[in-house]
Amino acid sequence: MSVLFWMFLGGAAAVAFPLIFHLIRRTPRGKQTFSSLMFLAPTTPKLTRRSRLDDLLLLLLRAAVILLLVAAYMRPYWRTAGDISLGDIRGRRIAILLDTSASMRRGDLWPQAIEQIEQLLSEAQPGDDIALYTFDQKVHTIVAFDKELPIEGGQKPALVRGKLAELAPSWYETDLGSALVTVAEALDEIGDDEAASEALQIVLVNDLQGGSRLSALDALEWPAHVHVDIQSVSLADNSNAHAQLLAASEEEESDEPRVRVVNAADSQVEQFTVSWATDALREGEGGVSFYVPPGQSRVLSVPRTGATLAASRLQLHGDASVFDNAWYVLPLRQQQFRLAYLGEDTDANGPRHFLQAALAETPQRRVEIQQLSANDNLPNAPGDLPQLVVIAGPVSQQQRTAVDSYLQAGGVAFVLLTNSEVAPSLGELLAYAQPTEPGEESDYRMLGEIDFTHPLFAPFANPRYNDFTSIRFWRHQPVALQDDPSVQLVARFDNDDPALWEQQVGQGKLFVLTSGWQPADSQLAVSNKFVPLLEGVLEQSTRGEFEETSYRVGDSVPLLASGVGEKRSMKKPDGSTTPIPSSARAFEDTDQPGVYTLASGGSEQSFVVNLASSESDTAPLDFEQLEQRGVNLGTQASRQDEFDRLRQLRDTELESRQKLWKWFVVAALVFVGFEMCLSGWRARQSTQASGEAA
Amino acid sequence: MSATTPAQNAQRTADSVGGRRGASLVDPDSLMQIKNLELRAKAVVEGFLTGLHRSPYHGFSVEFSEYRQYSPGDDPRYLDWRLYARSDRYYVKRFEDETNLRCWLLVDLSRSMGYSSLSYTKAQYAKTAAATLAYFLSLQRDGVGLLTFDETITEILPARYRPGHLHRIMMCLERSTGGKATDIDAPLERIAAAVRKRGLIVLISDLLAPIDTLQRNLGYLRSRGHEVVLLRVLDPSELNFEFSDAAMFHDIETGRELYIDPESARESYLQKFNEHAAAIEQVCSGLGIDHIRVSTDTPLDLILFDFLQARLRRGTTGVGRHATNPSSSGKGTA
Repeated sequence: MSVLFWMFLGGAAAVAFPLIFHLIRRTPRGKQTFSSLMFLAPTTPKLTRRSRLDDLLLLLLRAAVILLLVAAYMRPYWRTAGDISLGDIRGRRIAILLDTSASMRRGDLWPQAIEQIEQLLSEAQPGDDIALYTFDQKVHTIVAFDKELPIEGGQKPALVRGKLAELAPSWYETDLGSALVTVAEALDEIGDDEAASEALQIVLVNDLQGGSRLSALDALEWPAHVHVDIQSVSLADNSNAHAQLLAASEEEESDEPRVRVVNAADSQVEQFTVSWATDALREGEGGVSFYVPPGQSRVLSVPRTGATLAASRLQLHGDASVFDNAWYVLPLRQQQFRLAYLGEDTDANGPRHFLQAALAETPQRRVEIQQLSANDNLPNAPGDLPQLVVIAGPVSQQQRTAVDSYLQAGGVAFVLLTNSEVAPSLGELLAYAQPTEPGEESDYRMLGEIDFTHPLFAPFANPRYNDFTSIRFWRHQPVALQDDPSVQLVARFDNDDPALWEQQVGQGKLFVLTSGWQPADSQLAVSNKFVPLLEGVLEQSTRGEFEETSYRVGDSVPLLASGVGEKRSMKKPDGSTTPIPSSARAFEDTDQPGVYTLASGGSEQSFVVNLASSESDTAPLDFEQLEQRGVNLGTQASRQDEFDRLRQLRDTELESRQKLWKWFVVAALVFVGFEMCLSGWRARQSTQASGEAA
Repeated sequence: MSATTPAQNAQRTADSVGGRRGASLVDPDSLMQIKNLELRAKAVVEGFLTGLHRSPYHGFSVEFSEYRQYSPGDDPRYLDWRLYARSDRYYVKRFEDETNLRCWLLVDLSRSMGYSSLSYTKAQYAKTAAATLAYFLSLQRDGVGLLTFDETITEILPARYRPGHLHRIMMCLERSTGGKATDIDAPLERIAAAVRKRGLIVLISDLLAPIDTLQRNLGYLRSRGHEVVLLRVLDPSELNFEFSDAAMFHDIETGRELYIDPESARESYLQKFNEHAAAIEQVCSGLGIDHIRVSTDTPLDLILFDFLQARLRRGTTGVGRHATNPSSSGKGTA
């Protein structure tokens, strides 16, 4: 039965018209001629009992004509046996895919999403199987599909409802493509397994932010029978911007931190303030104003001086969504390095002088150089262990033992073979390197072969910086290296003599330069490569520090192996502490932005985790982008709707076959003819009667 | 021969019929069966005069005026043969053929006058009444003129007393058919403009029309010294509106149709009708006009009687006296 059926059925109300006309139109008996109507006013027709009884047959005929026409338009038909039943109709499998990414923390998006799912659950019909998936960076199955479709209502809605209450938005970014692909494949798999084709439906409940990743969809041919119904949630004020601290560029002359503010395309505000925030600072104090039109970005310097040096985050003010307004940084803190220098030189031309000059104190770092003579012992207390040992002269037996144990424990040592006595003094440590007699060198040497993949030379890998030809080595200690798996040659001279190598000693590393860096031996110390090279050595020596200090939520943070029996724990931004197994090589649980602190032994190292910038792109995603990737948007009819549709098809077929409406029209025409004859006869009778009366 | 004034005649006839009111009168329905208008008028007048001691046939004479030499074309009946015998000259006698009274009969023949709930229309009744008055006045040798009108003036005959004039009046009345709407102003203005000598003007109409200007025109006639008698002819159904069934009422004049339920409309109709009648009555009494309201089922004898009585009253009380009692003049015939 279509809408028209009920509309035409409503047309049956028109049968009231002849009834009303018969009632209200008190037909005059005839025409009464009168001399003048100047004293008369028209009389309102009255309902009288007599008028109701008048022309009852005509009334019935007219009503019958209307009813027959209404019946004809309603297209009646006789139902036949073999009708379809609800049980014959396929059921639906509905996968609810709920977005739990960080952008769902905006405003009341999450309650909206929950409400939409509740609505969906309340509309679930018998025969529908419901599964609940959540997705952000990954897809999580909260409630899975049953193997068999439930016959009646089932417990699924209640189960899903119960699980919903436990869910909350995370801080991860949105990988919509992967989520759709995963769930579509799961549904497709079910569809292939089932003999009877079921209606497969994904209901995507999310905020459709523009930053969602869709690339996974490109690799999938979307299964045609899986439909995606997008139930998007949105905010009235979608204004959003985020600030991001840019990494310092070498070309940048200014040392001031640069901050990029990106405004979403559909923002309604353009003026923002970015400031460094600490617990002590009031919000917005000393901020820098940013004017950023919607859809654009601006980069400005936000000075970090005084009290803000201790700030752990950049805070943006002025937009409606606050979830991404903080950008975490490590508080600027001067790192303390202890460096043990084993050498006797004290003059301005010695290696130590240039070492001290290169490692001058900066706001970020302070290197304390402890020069040890041959009689001094290397400090071995846990708190006094140097981060780097530089050996520039022969060492004593005692010192050699201390260095060996230091290296075994993971220390880093840098050896300068300034003369032929240094290598023998190290004994077993450099047993594989036999000094040879230097030949008659009349010319200088340069570095001929350099391994730019090595961490020490990696910063120079760029062709702009990899020119080492200006560094001339006047003198070096030729050695013959034996094959040793722990030794990695990093650089050679142009005469193929080893220049620099790295040796793995226990947990530690030993770097050996077969020359000195002081001008007496080479131009290395006065070249512009010297400081970065020493920085590289220092980085190697900072044992336990993270490779990077800034990560995104969900990133895996690589960890160095811990010492034997050393207990490690990670303190998260929310204050919770997670123990780290000694075998763990990475920390995966970066599930929230903020400063993470790894406590290892007596030391602590920190890194920060920030929101993915794609999550801040909250401008609405265009549906067409999904359709262009083949996603089949639409809804599957419920079992009841499908049943109604099939029944209507069947009804239409029956009606078109039977064509009962023709008979109703014929009957209506017959009644009309009869009514015309009767009313004509009545009129003639009336005329004659009035004529006789006149 | 003694000449008598119309007032004297009227008094004489009125005296004679004064005791006959309520006696056997000619039933209008029967009277209307007579097709000939003149016969009808004669029947009324002669019946009315039956038993009078002095017949009007002997009461009037033609007053001799002068002798005039005969010229070819003159009526040889008026040759004075005695004078011819004496003088051997042909002389014709000239008589004063105009009477003192000139009466104008203004007959409304609009469509509303064609209405009837009886077997004859108001127009037929009005024509008969006009014919009766004309016949009666002719008997008294008064000059009678006729003007028929609807929304325009259709027929007009000057007021004369001549042999054959009465017949012309009768023919003119019989010939006149119903017109369209009613416009009383035009004939009244025309009469006022045309008639210089004072006379009697009898307006026979149903006056079913707005009377806004009636007072002005009648007043103008009165100011010219005319005596005016208003004979308002109405159908019994117009007077009491005794219809029983609801019907579409059709206005004869305008063609307008209204659905009327008489039961509910009667009271309102009678109220408005009586207000209209009262307004006419007020106009008439204000101007000293005799207002005679007759129903078409009233015997015509009584009209003649009321007419004469009004004339008598006028003759005795004089023009300008507001002596006419509306109720008495209306009641007499309605």
